[in-house]
Amino acid sequence: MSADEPTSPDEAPVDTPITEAAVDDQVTTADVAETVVSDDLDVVQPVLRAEHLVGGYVPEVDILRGCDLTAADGEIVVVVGPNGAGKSTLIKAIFGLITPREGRVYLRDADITGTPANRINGLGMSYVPQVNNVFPSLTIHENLQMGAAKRRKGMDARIEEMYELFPRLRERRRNRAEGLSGGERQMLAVARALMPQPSVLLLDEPSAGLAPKAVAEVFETVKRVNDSGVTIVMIEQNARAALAIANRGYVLEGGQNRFTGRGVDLLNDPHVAELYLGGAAD
Amino acid sequence: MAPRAVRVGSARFRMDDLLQTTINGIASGSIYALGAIGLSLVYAILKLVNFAHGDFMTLGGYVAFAVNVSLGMPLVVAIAAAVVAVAVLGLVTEELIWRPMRKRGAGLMQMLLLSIGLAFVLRNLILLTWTGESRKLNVDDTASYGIGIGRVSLLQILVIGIAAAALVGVGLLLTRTYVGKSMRALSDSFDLAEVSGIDTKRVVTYTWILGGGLAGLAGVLAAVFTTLTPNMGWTLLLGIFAAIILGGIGNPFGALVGGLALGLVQEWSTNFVEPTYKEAIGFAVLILALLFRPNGLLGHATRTG
Amino acid sequence: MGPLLAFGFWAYVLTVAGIYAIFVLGLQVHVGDTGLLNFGHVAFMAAGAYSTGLMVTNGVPLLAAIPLAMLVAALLGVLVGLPTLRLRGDYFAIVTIAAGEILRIMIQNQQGATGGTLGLRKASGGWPSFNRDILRWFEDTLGIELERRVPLLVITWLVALVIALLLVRIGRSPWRRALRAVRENEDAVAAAGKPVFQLKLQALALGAAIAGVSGVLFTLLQTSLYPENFEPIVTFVGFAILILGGIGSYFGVVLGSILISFIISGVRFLDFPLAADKVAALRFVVIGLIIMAVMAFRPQGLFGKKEELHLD
Repeated sequence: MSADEPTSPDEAPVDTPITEAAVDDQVTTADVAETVVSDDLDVVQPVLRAEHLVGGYVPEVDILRGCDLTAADGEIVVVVGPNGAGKSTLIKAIFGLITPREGRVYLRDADITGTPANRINGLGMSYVPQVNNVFPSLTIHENLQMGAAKRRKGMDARIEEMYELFPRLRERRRNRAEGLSGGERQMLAVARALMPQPSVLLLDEPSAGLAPKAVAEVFETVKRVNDSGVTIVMIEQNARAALAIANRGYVLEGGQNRFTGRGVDLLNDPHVAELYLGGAAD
Repeated sequence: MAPRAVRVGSARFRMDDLLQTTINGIASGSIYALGAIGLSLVYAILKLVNFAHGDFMTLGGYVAFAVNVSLGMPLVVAIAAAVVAVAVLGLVTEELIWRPMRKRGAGLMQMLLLSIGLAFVLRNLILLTWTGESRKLNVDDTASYGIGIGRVSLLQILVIGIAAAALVGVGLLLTRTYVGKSMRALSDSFDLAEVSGIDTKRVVTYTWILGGGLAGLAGVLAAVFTTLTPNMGWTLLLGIFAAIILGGIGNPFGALVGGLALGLVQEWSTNFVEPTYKEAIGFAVLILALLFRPNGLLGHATRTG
Repeated sequence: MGPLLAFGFWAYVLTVAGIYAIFVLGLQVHVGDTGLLNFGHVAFMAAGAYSTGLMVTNGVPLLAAIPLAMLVAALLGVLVGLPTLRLRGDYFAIVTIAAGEILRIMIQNQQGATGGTLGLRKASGGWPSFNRDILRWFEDTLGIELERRVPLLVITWLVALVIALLLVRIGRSPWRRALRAVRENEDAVAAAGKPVFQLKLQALALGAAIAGVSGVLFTLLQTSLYPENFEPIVTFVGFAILILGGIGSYFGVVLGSILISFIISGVRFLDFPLAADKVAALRFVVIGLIIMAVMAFRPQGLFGKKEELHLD
């Protein structure tokens, strides 16, 4: 169980001038302000909007303590932050895998708060879990078919599109997914999630545990998918590489937003770099 | 051990024995396999080790008996009735017991012990209804046909033919149809199926229909091939478990292989030792196999978590 | 039905309850204390019973046969455990039934030695005459006319008490703490360098020896042994007792065995407008419903502690 431990005052960057959002143990959820490092970030028509999410896996423990997230059409949005910051929980709350105690989630204009994951899948948003994200005993082709549960019409044409996007999957279409390499597996997981033609794709640490070469492949995949018009919301441990391709980035800590800005701006922000990226950018 | 002296004396007799035990092995192996596939699917998808599965089979046998003997209807109708009745039983237990228990977060062992209680209830309700007297279905058990190298009985043909048809059907269902593939997907990962948008509730319903229906069919075939008593399914259950473990738990194709292997080993063993040992030999094979392959013959070490 | 006859009957029911209590105390060591789902427990009872019977019918004095019978049961525990203890919980459960069935089928088939389905007669050796001596002593010295089943009833429950106290005492030992740790988190114990496999094997042998004692007492009660006395159903009745009383609770075992024995044998006295075999079936329907209800609504049983329950 990865419950967040409230950052103790001496560890928290209290005396850093830029962080008005310094953590005070006593504060309630609404009290911590986030630092916006880029201006003109407002979005008139967001495709995905999460507002002030509070909640966790069990009623007693709030992992999210007032999280916000916005994604504009066609963006790559990256969420970074230390372990236990609530990144995975945020994505799960957005995708209906946990029901937040407070706050709302909007997909386009529809309020989808508390809608079960299974239904959200048909509403234009897909989710790729961090682990166990393919069906190992099914073939690659069958994995893709499973992604089309909500849209069986035109399934074969859609699979063909996926093979166009990921030719490597076509080569191995009759193989069982358990034989795939780490990078290929992520590719398949993403392709499966794309089957219902979502406008938003949620990725939970797609590069976790992969070899450097495969990590590069995964980022390449993400960019390619984004180029085809899909909005990406992704959690990443590889914060630098991820922020580099992000239109919009969020730094989470203690279940709250700490820094928000364009990916480049976050990368260049000395405080973000020092606190979350392990030193200043080169 | 009187017959053995004759066997040793004549090669022709031994050929015939081998043929007969092979056919019998395939027949009883198919019954194990039919029971095992249903049990294995339910386990893989719902994480339920259903100790009442044997008694599901017994109920199938008695429903067929009621239709075929008590009501005097043809065997085909009896089989259909048994399949439907046990599929319905599966759905009813899902609604009344298993789903509510899963919602409460019941553990594997809690569900397993609960299924033992259900097994007691079913078996003894059957005993109450039909008494402990052993029954037979209305099938000509003396008819047999020559097939060149020996003879096969009508019973053997019936059991093997029906089981083979059902097994091919199940194989096609699992590999060719969307719902069948979804079942395999759920058995790989229920959670991923859920986030992939698969209608898991519907697939669970189909799983019970398939698992229950196969149990009903296996029960009828067992009743045709052996005798029908309230303990029939319970006695078969251990062999069914052995078949599943041999094939790798949660793998329906493994269950088929495991069932046939078990049936053949048991029947072939009667060529060498007293037939009363054949069950023990089946279990000994299970234990031996697990010594070398702790995850079953076709089991995947990675999917046992 | 005279009251004396009724008393003899109740003495019998309570003796059976006591034998079940001992049997299930052994099961408790496996299931409650170690987390081993042993579904072949009846095999250890059979080992205790048949080794007693075979020894005394071959001239070994009963008093010498009893400890040897326990040893045989414990050794069978080791024998079963060696290939199976490394298996997953559900595999272990099924393989232990299989092992028990192998033993029962062997007993059934080795007719020359065990009598097979015809039964092993005079398996209790010198017990009946010793029992008569006890009864005579009571009558001659104290002027008390004891029902003939009373001595075994008293002995059975004394043995149950001693075993329960012993288990409570072991419960405070470091060995038992290590065992509990195995049940809670096997990997952590293994990582700490403790011999998990040996601990489990020792627990299996201990529980098996206790079941062996129940087999000895069963032999004294029945005098003749039949393979069908040791069918898997006995283990599952044991589980019903364990579940009802509470997994992890020794006191629960005692109460559970009295309740379940009463349901199995006792309700014979209630007048049902049904044939005897139907009543028998109804009894097991009730036991099945009890198992289901307890597992659904109170999985810790009557006396178990919820936090000690591990049913995953």
